[in-house]
Amino acid sequence: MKKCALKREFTVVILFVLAAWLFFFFRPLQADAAGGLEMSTDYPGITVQAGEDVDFDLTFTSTAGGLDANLSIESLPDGWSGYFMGSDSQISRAHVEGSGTEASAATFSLSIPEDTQEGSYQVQLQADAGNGASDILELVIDVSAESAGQGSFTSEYPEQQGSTGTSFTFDTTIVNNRGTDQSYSLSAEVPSGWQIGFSPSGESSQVASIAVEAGSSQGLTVSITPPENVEQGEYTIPLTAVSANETLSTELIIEITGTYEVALSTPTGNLSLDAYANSEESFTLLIQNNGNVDLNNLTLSSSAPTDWEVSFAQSSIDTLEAGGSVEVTAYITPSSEAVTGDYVTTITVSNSETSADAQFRVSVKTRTTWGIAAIIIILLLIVGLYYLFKKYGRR
Amino acid sequence: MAVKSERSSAGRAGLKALYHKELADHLSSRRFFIILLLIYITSFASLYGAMSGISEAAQSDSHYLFLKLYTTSSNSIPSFASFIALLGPFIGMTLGFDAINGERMGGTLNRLVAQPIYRDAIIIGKFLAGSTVIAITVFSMGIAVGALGMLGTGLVPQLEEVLRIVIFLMFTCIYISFWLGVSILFSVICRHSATSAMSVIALWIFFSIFMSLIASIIANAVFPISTDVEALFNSYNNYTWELNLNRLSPYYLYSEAVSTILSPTVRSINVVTVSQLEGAVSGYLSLGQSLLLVWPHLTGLAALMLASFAISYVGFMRQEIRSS
Repeated sequence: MKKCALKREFTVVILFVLAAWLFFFFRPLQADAAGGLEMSTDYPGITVQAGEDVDFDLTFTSTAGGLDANLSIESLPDGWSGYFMGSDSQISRAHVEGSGTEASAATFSLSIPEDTQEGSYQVQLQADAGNGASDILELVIDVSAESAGQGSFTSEYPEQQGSTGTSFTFDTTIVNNRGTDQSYSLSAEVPSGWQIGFSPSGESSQVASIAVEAGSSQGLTVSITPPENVEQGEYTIPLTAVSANETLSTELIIEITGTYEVALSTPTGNLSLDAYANSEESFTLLIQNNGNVDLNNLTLSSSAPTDWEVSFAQSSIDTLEAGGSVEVTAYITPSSEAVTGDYVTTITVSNSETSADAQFRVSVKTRTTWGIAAIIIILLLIVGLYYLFKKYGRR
Repeated sequence: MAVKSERSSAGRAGLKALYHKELADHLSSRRFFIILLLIYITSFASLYGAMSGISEAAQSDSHYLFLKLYTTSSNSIPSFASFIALLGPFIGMTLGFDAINGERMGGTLNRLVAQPIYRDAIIIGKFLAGSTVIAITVFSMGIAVGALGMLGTGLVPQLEEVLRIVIFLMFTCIYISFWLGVSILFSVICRHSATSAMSVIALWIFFSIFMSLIASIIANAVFPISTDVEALFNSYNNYTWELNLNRLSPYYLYSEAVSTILSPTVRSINVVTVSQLEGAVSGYLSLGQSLLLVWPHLTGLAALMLASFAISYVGFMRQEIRSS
C-alpha cells in the first residue's frame, strides 16, 4: 500500500514538472492566445509616401496583471528611423494595466527616408515585460510609387515693370505639401546695391525664415528696391526657400524702364550774368543726364527778349550717356536797344523724350566809357575857362 | 618875374578879400534871409507831405524808403525834389541878378576897379561867393530834411541812400549855380538891376512852364498824332522829339536826372518800347548804373553852368567901366 502512494506522489511531481516544462517551452505559442501581454495598433498595415513621417498609436493589454514592458524595435529597414513617444517625450518602457482593458499609452513615430524605393516593408516592434510576457507587433508599410509631395514656391505676378526709383512688391506663396511642418530659410540673389526683404503676408516685420505647417501654404511678400542709378534693363532675381527636407526656388523678373531726365545749369550754379547792350557775352552751360538712358539728339534753344541773340558753341549734342554731363559755351548778345537793368532769358535743352530749362537773369549795364567821356567834356570846359582867365584876366 | 609873382599873389589876396566880403554881404543881407525862410518853409511842407504819403508808397515798394522822403508827394504838396527844381533857381537869381549892375548903379564898381586887384577877381569872387552860399543853403536844407525825416519816420538811411542823396544835393548845387551864372550874365548885360531881374525871371518861367508846352506843340507839328493812323506811325517819334526838346530846358534836365538818381527803379530815361520791355524783370539799378544813365544830364548842366559864367566873365572883362 505504501509503495503505491509513493508511486502516485511521483506521478504528480512528474506531471507538474511536465506542466512547468510545457509552460516554459510553449509560452510564446500561448501568449497570443491566452494570458500575458499584447501590443497592438488599429491599422498595422499602411501605405505612405517616401519622406513622410507616420505615427502608430500603440495599445497594450495584459491578462496577467499590471506589468511594465520594455519597448524596442526588433527590425527596421535600412535608413529608416523610429521611436516611441508617450506624453510628448521619447519613451523606452510602458506600464500596462492588468485589468484587461485597453490602454493607449504610446505612439510609435516612424520616419521614412525620401529615397526609399517603392515596395512593402516590415517593421517589428517588441514589448517585453519579462517572465515570458512579451509581444511582437508586426507593421507592414507599403511605400507608394509616388514620391512625397514636393512643396512649391510661386508668385502670382513674377514679372513687374517700373521706372528708376520704383519699389517692387511681389506676393509669393510657399506651399508645404509634406507631411511635416517645414521651416524654410529664405534667400535671394540680387545685384549689388539692390535691397530685398521678405515679410509674411499682412505683416510688416521682415523675416529670414518662415515656418509652414504640413499641408498648408504661407503667403510671403517680397519687396525689392533697386538702387537710384539702376540702368534700364531686365533683371532676374532667383529666390530660394530651403528647409531641412527640400529646396524650393522661383524667379522674379524686374524690368526697369528708361527714365529720361536732363538738367540744365551752369558749372557754378550761378544763373545771372552781366552784359552790355549790343555786345556779346559768353557763359558756360552744364547739361547733365540724370536719367538711366543715353539721351540722343539733344538740342539747345533759347527764349530771349526781342532782338536779343543767343547762340551756342554746340547747338546739338548727339549722345549724352546716362549719368554723364557736358559743358557748352553759350553766347548772348543783348539788343542794342536794351534798357539798363535786369532781363530774363530762358535756355532750353530738349530732345524728343525730355527737356529742361533754366532762366538766366541778364543784367544789362551801361558802358562806363560814356561816363569817362562826360568827365573829359567837363575837364575840357574847365580848361576852356582857364584859357579865358588867361586871356582876359590880369588886366 | 618877382614883380609878376608879387602881383599874382596880390591878385589872389584881392580875390580872397572880395570872396569873403561878398560872402559876408550875402549871409547878412535881409534879402537872403527872406529867400532862405521861403525855401525852408516850402521844403518842410514837402517833407510833411512826404511823411504822410510815405506809408502808402511803402506798401507798393518797401526798398529805398529813405529816398522816398525826397521824392514822395502828398495830395497837394509836391515832393522835395520837385520843389527844389522849381524854387531852387530863385536862390541863384536872388544872389546874382544885381551882382554887377547893382555895383555899377551904386557907383562902387569904379572904386572897386581902382583897387590894386585884378579886374576878373571881382566877377570870379562874386560867382564863387554866390556858389558857396548856394552850397551852404542846399546842403543844410537837404540834411535838415533827412534828419527831420529820420526823426519823424524812424527810417535809417543805407550807405547807398546817403551817397545818392549827396549826389542829388551836389547836382542841385550845380543846377542853382547855373541860374546864378545866368543872372550874373544878365547883370553884366543890363544896366539896370530891375531889367536883369525881370529878364532872368522871364527865362526861369519860360523854362519851368512854357518849354514843355512849346516842346509838345513842335513835336505835334512835326509828327502829328491827331488821327489813329498818324498815332500808329508817329507816336514814337513824337514822344522822342518832345523829350529831346524838353531836355533843352535845364529845369527838365535837372528833374529827369534827379528822379533817376533818387529812384533806383528808373531804368531808362528815354522812350521805352514794348519790345524793349519784353523779358525785363523789375529790379534796382546800382548807384553807378543810375549815374551812367544820367551822365549826359550831369555833364550838360555842368557845361551850361560853366558856359553861363564864361560868357558873363568875357562880357564883364570887355566892358568899359569908366564911362559909366
